[in-house]
Amino acid sequence: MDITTNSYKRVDVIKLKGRLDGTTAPSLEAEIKRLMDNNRFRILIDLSDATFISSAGVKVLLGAIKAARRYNRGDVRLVSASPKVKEVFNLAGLDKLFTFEDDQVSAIGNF
Amino acid sequence: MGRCTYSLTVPGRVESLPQIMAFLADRAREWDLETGETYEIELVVEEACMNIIHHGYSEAIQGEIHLVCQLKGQEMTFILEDDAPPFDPSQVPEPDVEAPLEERTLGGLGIFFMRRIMDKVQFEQLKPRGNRLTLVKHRTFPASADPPV
Repeated sequence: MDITTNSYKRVDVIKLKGRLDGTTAPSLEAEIKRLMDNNRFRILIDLSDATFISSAGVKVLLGAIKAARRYNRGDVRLVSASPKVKEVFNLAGLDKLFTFEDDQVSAIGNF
Repeated sequence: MGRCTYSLTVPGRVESLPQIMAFLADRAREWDLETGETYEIELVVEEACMNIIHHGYSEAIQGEIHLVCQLKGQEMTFILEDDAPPFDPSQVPEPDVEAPLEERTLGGLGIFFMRRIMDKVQFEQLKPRGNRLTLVKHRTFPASADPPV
């Protein structure tokens, strides 16, 4: 999986390409930790090129959104999830907890 | 349709996951699975493997994962065997997927996914050691076939 981070004034966008699974989830976890260690808590995860997510990936994102929302300091939002990827969030009951956006530009504007 | 059985044995480590997923992708192509079915099969087998790797094996206890994939008629069966200490699924609490964010815990999602997606999930403890997990799903008809009347 490729992880690319673009930092804007108020938001950091992490774009994932490939499979977010047990092999690759630790890399995403490390990248989110790097951002949060630098007091960056508004994070947009671009899933437009993410082909697969397992519970290992879901757990990283669940941990991230809990950390971001603590003290109301930020949020982790998801953009352009495919129907199959979104179905995994539905299965885990996380579809109501995460904000899903349709496109990156408006998602950044809405943050 | 004939009976098709394939097996793969790999070290029980995270580094083996790509090989396992490639093996499943080959089965998905041969069995003409729909995209959604393929995703579900890859998801539950990954969850099963991650449970073996993270909760069964450790630095002190290492072993292999033996995976058997079988298609018999419309029934897909995936059997995973390990050499790990006995696993008791009743000791894994089911996640509360309705709980508010602050009460969400990170464990138990893998088995929860298996039970939601597959038609049968069976755990067995093997003698003298090891565990066997059997996952069964009745597939939908392939896109190329006429649907049942």
